[in-house]
Amino acid sequence: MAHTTSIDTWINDSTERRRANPDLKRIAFGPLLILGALALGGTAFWSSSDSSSVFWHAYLIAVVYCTSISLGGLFFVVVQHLTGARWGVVLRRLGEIISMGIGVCGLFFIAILALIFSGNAELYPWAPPAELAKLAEPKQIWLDPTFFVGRQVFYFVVWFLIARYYYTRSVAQDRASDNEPMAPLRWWSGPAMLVFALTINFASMDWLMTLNPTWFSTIFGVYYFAGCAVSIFALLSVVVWRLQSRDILTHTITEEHRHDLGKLLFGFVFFWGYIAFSQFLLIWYAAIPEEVQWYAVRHIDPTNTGLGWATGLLFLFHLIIPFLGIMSRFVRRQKTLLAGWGIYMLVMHWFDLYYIIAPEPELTSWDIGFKSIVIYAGTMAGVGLLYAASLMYIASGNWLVPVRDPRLADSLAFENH
Amino acid sequence: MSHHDTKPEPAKYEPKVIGVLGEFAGPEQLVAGARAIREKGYRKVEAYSPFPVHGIDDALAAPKPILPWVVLGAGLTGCAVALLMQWYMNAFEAPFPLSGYDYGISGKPSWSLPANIPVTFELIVLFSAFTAFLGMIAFNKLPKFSNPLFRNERFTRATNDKFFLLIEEDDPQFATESITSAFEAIGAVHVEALYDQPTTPMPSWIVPVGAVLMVAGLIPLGLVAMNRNVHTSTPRLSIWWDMDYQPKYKAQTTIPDSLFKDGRSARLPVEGTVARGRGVIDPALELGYIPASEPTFETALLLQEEGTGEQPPAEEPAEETPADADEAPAEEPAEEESADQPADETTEAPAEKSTDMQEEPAAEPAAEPADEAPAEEPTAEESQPATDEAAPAEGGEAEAPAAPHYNWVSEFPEAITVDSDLMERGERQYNIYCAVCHGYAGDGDGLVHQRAIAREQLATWAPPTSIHNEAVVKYPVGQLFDTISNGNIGDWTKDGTPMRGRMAGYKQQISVKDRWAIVLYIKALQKSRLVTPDELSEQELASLK
Repeated sequence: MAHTTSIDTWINDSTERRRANPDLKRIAFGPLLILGALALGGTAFWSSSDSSSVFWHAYLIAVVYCTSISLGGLFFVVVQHLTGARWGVVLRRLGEIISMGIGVCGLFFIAILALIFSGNAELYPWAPPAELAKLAEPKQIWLDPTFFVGRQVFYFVVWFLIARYYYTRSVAQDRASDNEPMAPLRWWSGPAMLVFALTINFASMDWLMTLNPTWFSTIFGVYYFAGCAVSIFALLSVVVWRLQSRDILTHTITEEHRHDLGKLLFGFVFFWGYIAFSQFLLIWYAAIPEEVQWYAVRHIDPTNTGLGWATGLLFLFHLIIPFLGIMSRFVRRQKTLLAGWGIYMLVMHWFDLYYIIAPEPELTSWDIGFKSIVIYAGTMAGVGLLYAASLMYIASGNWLVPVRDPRLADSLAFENH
Repeated sequence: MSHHDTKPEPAKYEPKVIGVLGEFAGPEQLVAGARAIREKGYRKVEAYSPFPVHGIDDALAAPKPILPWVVLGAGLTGCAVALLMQWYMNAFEAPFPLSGYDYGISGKPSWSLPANIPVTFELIVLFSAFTAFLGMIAFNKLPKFSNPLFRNERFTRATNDKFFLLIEEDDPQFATESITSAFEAIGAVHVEALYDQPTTPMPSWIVPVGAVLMVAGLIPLGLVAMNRNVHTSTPRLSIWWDMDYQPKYKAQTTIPDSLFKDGRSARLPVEGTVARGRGVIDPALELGYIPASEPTFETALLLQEEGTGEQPPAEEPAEETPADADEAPAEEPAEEESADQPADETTEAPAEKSTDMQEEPAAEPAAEPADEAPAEEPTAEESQPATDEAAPAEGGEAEAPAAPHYNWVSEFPEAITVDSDLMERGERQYNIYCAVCHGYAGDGDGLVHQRAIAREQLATWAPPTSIHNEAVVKYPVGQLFDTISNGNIGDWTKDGTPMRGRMAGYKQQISVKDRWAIVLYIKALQKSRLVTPDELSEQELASLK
């Protein structure tokens, strides 16, 4: 009863916009694309003479960063269907658009795959065949360039197919007269989540763990996933704030939905800390050379790494401070405060990836001179703008909320207890 | 039930009104009614519904609960308590009872934050969860044994399908009539005033009886506490008597009516049995010295592996034992004597350490009779194993004589092939077993020693001997072998048997051949310090430059 009334008032509410500007393609996509390409190309060209190693590290950070946001979006969308959640319907379309960004991330990865095929050791020390031959035999098989590249193609194809399936079905529902387009999504969410969990685990190993091919950590996939989840909820908080400041979805997405976004962000910030600390504690306590080397360059001895207390800083700024900051219900229900913490966590997620990627292999790329700061910033800006352009392209003219979703009424009437 | 509702039972009791209850049909009406009542200025309003109703908190303008802050405080307290507790227990030590124990684990600093985080996390959760739970109960003023609302029959449907607002009588604007009309005006289905009831006083005997029961309940705990802190000479209470005093024969005892004719409780080994470590066939190889008499198979059986003097034959009852037990007090002066003795050439460790071996066993028989006296078998035999150990205490009074029959082997036995393989093996074994104390170069500065110095345990720490010590360099190979096998010789008893020092014997861990390999490696290490340039070839000299 309450539901019908709320959807009636919602339909008659003309004070908010619910579609993205159909001109986004013209007014945003083109300029963002050109700006991004210029930034990325310029940085690449400028660094090619003497800092190509720094550039490749910056590039990997930027690409993995964007990929983690899209993977987080994919997780958010699939888990909405998996749990049959009703509160989040009004946010799901935003997640679907972000998850579609996985396609452009796959294109970004081609450059890295080419780097591996060319035998360049600046990023992955095992890329030259002579170096690969020094590794243990199973690792040689696993890191064989053809197999490696084939796996990456497989991951991105699978992710893109899942994202696209959920996106197109959801968009088709906007124009449907019955629930037929949505009907199979819930059934597929179980297998999709299973595949997602396995692929993200192996993908994070391939991209990040093999930067140091002798190191291993069995929890690493979960660690990367935690970062993905943090980044999507952080980004959603920011996006909702930006949209509502432009009179979009101002009444559809309420304080209650933002409050739940804040709770999820809060929960996953702590989940990230729990996983990161678990990995650290086990390795630190056992102090086995082949495991502890990873932390040795990031934590133990500041004099020979230059990275110093990076691990401590990460725990402080990626866990303790946001944990206390987002703990309060008051903060989570304030649009701007929540968006502020969202931006903060997006920055910290970049630092988390920087912490993982920059010191390998053997700190070749670690030097915080002016030039490398510019390279890191320029690469991130370039890749980020291209990524944002692709999201704009997908969003252009789209409904930003699934207008005929059967659970929309419940979501609109949602209230926290 | 209904006749109890509002009417007082004793006629003279004046019932007091405690509130006005208004019933509403649904959640929307409840929220609207609550808002309307608030707007009329009533402040003491309570809502009752079968399920949580959205917006009711706002409508009632319920005060923000302070429980979250209390829980936050509890979490911070848990954090502080956990860190302080772990610091006190594991990283703090002071000489008073109940002090913490500063103890490094796994090579980590004894105060090291990462290791403390899991416990801290758990305690934060524990404190927060208990506070949230108990705080919820306390702020709701639970448990409440009776509530006048429950006497109202209509109110029972508050857990089913009805919704109620109650305005309590301590509201500043409380007036039954005006509230009733206000409720009716905003659409209450039913309005009713609630009255209290005369209460029956609690029976006067409850408090004293309760107090007595509580005190009685403490008696068992008090008994347990007392018995943990007193000594008694009466045998302890046996609940399972047949388990405590089961019929059995203890080892090494004689029982007149034994199962066996000879009165023993156990059987002798079959003739020709060679016990582990006995039956020395090649003493030069296996002992490192040639015993005074050439060992036959029979003497080999009796040959003492530990050099603890002659053992009484097993058949002899241990009659001298009580005397030995009495001797225990004489042990102290003996200790002083030997401590003053200057170390002779065969003493590895400082002389004071050599007495450590006697200290423990000798203390035991003195203590035992007191403890065990009332036990069912107060036999002297129990203390017998200490007899041999205690005997050397006697020897400490006289001058320690040299060992007459220790005829050390000065060449490697024939069975050992001295070659580079043996040297390599010796190095490996030395680095495994010896280097932790004696150091890789043999200077007596191994990790264990460094750790002891770092922890300032100088008062009790006997530093490992340097193998480059002049006395040790003079050791014949046989004595080195014996030291590795049985530990260093700290002192000699009157009858010429050695008393072992602080170093333990390694013959159980290291095979005979490996012990000789270590001897070879030690000789090489010693030689490396003493060699003169003209002993070396041109090539070797060149390699050293």
